[in-house]
Amino acid sequence: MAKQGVVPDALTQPFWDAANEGRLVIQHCHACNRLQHPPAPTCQQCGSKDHLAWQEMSGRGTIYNYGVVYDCPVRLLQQDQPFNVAVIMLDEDPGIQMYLPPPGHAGGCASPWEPVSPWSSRRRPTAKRSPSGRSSASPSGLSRTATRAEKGAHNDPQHPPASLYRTTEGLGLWEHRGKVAAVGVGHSPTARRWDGTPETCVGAWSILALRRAIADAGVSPDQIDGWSSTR
Amino acid sequence: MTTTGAYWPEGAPVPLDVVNAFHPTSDPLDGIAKLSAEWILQNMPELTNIQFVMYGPRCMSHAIVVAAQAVGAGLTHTCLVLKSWHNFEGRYYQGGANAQDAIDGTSAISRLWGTPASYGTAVQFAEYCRKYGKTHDMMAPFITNSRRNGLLFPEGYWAQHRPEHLTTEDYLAARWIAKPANLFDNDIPIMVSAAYLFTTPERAKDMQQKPVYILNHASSRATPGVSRPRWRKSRRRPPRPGASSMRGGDHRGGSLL
Repeated sequence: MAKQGVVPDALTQPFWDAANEGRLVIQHCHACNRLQHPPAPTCQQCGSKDHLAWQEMSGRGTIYNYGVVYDCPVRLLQQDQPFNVAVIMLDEDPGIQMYLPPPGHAGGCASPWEPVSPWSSRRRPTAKRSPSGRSSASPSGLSRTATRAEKGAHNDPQHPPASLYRTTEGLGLWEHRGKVAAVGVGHSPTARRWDGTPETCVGAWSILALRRAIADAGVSPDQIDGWSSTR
Repeated sequence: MTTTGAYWPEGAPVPLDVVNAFHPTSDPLDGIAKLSAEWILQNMPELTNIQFVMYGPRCMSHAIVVAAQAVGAGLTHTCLVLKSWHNFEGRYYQGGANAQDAIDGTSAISRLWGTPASYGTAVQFAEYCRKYGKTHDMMAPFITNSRRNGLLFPEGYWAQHRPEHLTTEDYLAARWIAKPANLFDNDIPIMVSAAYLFTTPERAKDMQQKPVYILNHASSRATPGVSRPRWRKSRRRPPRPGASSMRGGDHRGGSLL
């Protein structure tokens, strides 16, 4: 199964180096005693970059679930469609997931919850080799506190703080129930594709929708002090 | 910061007439293939008092959640919410880095297996089916009814351009995209922007519309994870104009299987 080659960058070089040696390493924050993946320059919980180190995993995990890719956007993989892609939870921390094609034909891969070895020696990605540290520390007892640091996170518009999401079961009443009101809505026209004119580019249509929402609410624009969109 | 949509066509020149029709940011494709708050603020001079800016990842629902939480927490009292989609020539998410022989190591960690945009939802749905003994064809009534409802929405694409009902047979015969998600389980790439305004009940009293109160919200994840690829910044970055996204490397022998 031909796929795209990997050009390691500074952040991921140890990950791919280890992969070429048949090992799986995951970033570990010693301060939080927590694994994180994909790798990031800093711990996504405490913000530290000094306490991050690569820790070797057993390479074993459990298939959480899988889907069958029939319409792949990556050109090199299209010749092999359809193919399975499984979500695999690592034994060391089920919160860390890897995406890998599991054994079996498309649509008939191993059963969910069946233990697999996602990092066997025949599944090595291509990457430049270089010496890398090898940790033997046990990952057992890792903290599994979720996602990003909340302290000051709202100052980073790229990363909404974890408190903005409600991702656990048994949520109960929302603490802001009845304290937030939608008072205006605005839409642009629609089209299947952009016609190349300034009047219909996504920026122009967004301005149109925003001004319609403001007018719909009957609010003065200078009273608006917040902005939320997608990235 | 980016809108959802297709990559800027490979090798296509930046349309300077469009760029120069607005007050651009440092990225000439801002306002065309992406949309930052900075671009909006530069081109909407009437917004003079924006103090809080936040981007939710990817979907409209996230932008709404962010705004609702921010207003509820007092981070902003009157908040604009925007979601835009753009679509160019070519197919969704094809081209750009996806057409190259190699990708950078950070992108490869989550993108190496080329899962379509609907893959995450498909996996969630597969888990639901497994857990509750359901099957994909059971979605047909919901999907056909959704199209029926969509046609009642005059601002929507289907009502404006393709006023066609969807039948159960249409749905069940559609090709798979990421099984168990087929073509009609996916959205259709279009050009559109939608905006909302959220505020506090106190301020809502002075506005002309009867307020609609948000009572609750919940988020979900495909897996019970603490780390998701959606946090990554580079996932949908369009190629810089005139720059090759080919970074070398060799895909031969790169199979993980």
